[in-house]
Amino acid sequence: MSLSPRVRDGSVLLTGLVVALVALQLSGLAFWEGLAITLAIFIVLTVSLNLANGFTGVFTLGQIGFMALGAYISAILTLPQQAKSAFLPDLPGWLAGISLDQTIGWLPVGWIAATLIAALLVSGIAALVGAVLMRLSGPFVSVATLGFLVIVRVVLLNADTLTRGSRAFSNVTRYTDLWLAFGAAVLTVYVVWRIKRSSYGRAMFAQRGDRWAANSVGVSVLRPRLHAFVISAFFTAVAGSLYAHFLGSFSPNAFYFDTTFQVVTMLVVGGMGSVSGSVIGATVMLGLGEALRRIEDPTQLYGIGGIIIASVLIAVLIFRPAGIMGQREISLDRLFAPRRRDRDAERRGEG
Amino acid sequence: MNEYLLQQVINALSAGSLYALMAVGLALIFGILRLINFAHGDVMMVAAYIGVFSLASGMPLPVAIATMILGTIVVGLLIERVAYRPLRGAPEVALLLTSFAVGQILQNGVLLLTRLSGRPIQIAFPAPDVLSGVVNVGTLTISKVNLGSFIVGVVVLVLLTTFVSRTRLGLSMHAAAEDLDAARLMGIRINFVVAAAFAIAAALAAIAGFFYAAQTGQINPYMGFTPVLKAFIAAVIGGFGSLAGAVLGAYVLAFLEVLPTALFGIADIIPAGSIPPELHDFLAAAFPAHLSGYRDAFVFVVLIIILLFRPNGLLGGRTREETP
Amino acid sequence: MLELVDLHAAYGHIRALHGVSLEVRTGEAVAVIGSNGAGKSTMLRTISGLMRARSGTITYDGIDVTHASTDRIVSLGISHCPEGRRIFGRLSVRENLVLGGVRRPAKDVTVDIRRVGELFPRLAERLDQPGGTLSGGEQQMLAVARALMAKPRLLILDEPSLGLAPMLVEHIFEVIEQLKSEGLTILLVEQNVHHALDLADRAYIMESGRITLEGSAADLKHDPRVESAYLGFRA
Repeated sequence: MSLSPRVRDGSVLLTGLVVALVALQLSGLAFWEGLAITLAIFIVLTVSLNLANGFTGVFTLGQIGFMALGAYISAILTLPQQAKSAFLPDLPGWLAGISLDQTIGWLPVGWIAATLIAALLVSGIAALVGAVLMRLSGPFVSVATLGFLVIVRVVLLNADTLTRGSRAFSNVTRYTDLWLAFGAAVLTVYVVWRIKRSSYGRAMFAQRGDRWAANSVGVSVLRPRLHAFVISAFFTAVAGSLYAHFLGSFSPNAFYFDTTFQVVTMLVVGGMGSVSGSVIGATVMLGLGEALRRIEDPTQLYGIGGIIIASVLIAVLIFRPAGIMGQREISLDRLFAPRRRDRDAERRGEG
Repeated sequence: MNEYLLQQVINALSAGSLYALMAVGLALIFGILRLINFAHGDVMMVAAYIGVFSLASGMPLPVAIATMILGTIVVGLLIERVAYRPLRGAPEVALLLTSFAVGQILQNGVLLLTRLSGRPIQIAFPAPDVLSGVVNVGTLTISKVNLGSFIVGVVVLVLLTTFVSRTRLGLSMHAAAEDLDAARLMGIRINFVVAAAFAIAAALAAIAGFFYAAQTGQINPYMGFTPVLKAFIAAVIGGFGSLAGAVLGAYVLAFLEVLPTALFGIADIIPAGSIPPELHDFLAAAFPAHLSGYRDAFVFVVLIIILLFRPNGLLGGRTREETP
Repeated sequence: MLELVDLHAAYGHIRALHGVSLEVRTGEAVAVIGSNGAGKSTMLRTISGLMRARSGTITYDGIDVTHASTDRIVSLGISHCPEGRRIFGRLSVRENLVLGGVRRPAKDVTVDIRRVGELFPRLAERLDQPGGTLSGGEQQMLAVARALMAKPRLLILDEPSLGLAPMLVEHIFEVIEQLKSEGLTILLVEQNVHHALDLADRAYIMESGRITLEGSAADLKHDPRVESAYLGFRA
């Protein structure tokens, strides 16, 4: 029986991932587990941002606002009763009563429900925001969505009965583990990849190239953009929930410009428009970030890591704007294919 | 009550001048290159740091200010040469992202240098003597810093407008902003014009940085983020691409900002008994004091509304291509 | 004065010029004729430095200017009046003219504005009006006037009659004729074949990025190929 190359590739990658995760979990190395979970979260973020930006060529900068909302909403929902009364004493009655902290054996169903609710709510917000903002063009979308990021932050800082304002929102149960995180990552990658390959995705790419041309051939411009924006927001909110329940404690500062810049760099380095590129970009930049932190800590040269990463982004934009993968996807065939020369030689019957 | 309003007006005028200085810099660069220079706020921050260190090292005030302006111009020219010129002609998104990256480099660079020099992250800005204290005009008390911001701002802006409309370099900038290729055909050296635009923008940012630091009393590496966003909003309100629009938008923005602060909580300010109690209750309910923190959000909502309905701003700058 | 040898140019992957060779001798007026998309404007843009040639050479007075920057080319005495006029609509007529002479000493410019005003009286009346308020014909005149402000030795005109009413077309060509009689070397790209061939000494026919025909203007006017393709079928 022969599988189509893509199914085969996917199964190989998936098996590889499962094996790696099992090994990691068994090793008990908490630091590496934590790093892996962080990577998974960033993969979700980068792939989502790719869907919203890389596919459509429109550059939104407000994604992390959705991450923040996802984090706070899910955390408020899962916070155990005592923590709620202690830390969020002024919650409205109906909210104070809810605590989605149920588990069935190992599976935190309460958290899953909370995450889904949060993600759906955030998608709704994204639909409204997107309907308004996706009409804009060029750099104006970018700044308007940046404005959205600021608005979310201001709201979070001021609505302190719900969010504790600028103080840390803590005592969140740390549900996130390797499997949930990578499960979400795999799901996101799969969904976005399927979208890319669908006729729907092709419409998005079409209007990326030339809005006027696409429009004149009858390809609707606003709808695909909006749908991409909303779906992206959904997964970004999931990432937010993962994040919140991984750290257990967070504040609005985690969801502002620095994180935005991090994800944008991962996206550009990996290649806008390539799903596997986003995975690669996230891995590379996270690895680079960690390595740079190792240099900063002992030498106390704080700031040098930021300079290097920003320089990497500029260098990529100048010298290789398509990123590592451009719009192509990874195919194992090409990775492991025998070199051309050898193949040709085989065909000619030599060697 | 009147004093309260007048005080707000003065605050708005002072803030507006600073926004104008920054917004004009943004508009200058955007006009020619279609680049939204997000690093501009960080250029202002660098200026403030140069200023602080110059003053701290004992330079007399005029020398420190000159150093600040010249140093910032150098930084601005460097940025243009290294980061933006190689991307001339690249898609707008690439330029935008580069400007973010440049901002990050500036922030981290300053962070690094501050650490290396042993100073804390947040540094107090010793307001120079000429600017400390207040001035009494009638029943009003105006801080000298606010007054200085406003006066210097206006003077600089007037000088700039004269320069741009009278000199050949200024004319070349207009031409380059309107039609880059046609400007080239005139024999205008675009590289020079762009560099000049960056130098001017940097100098304006330096002046803004000086007064901003004097107003807030301290500086930190992240102080540039909000000002550049505000400057952008100001430029959009006025109609991006027009210098006069940028200035107008800046003052409009400043007054818009003051509005929530003035309104929300107004019920508490008005002395009881001067207005009917029903009106008082209504004001307290409609404009509760604790909502004044949403000021920044309010301003951004205004930005989005303007972008949607009047993308050419209040003064209607150049027509941009319609979004299909 | 100007010589193009085997010039190739492209927009990304789309090749626009396939080995164009032509020359313009001092004092003469040369016309390049072709329909839309023939590559005429691309050729002019490559000469002026707005576009980069892929291969081939452009020589001006013996100097290799193939990859020279536009500002160098202007300072050498070549002035290009672009297709579609491209005047600065938000600036006044006077400011447009000043910009035309922006590379020249300021006092010369004031003198030249007066001279140009004599050549184009309609412009002289409207010196302080914004360029955008002028009519199409006036804008074309402004574009030519502006190009003249650079005191060029070679004037390149890209479709000066495009979109103009017939009477204005006459007027424009009268002006160009006068400039020619004053000794200005002219390279003219035109779709209006009649006027172009009347004015020019020599002409080239360009199709799909190649020169397909060349000769004296008189010869080409009666060449059957030119007649059928560009002048309509003979009765």
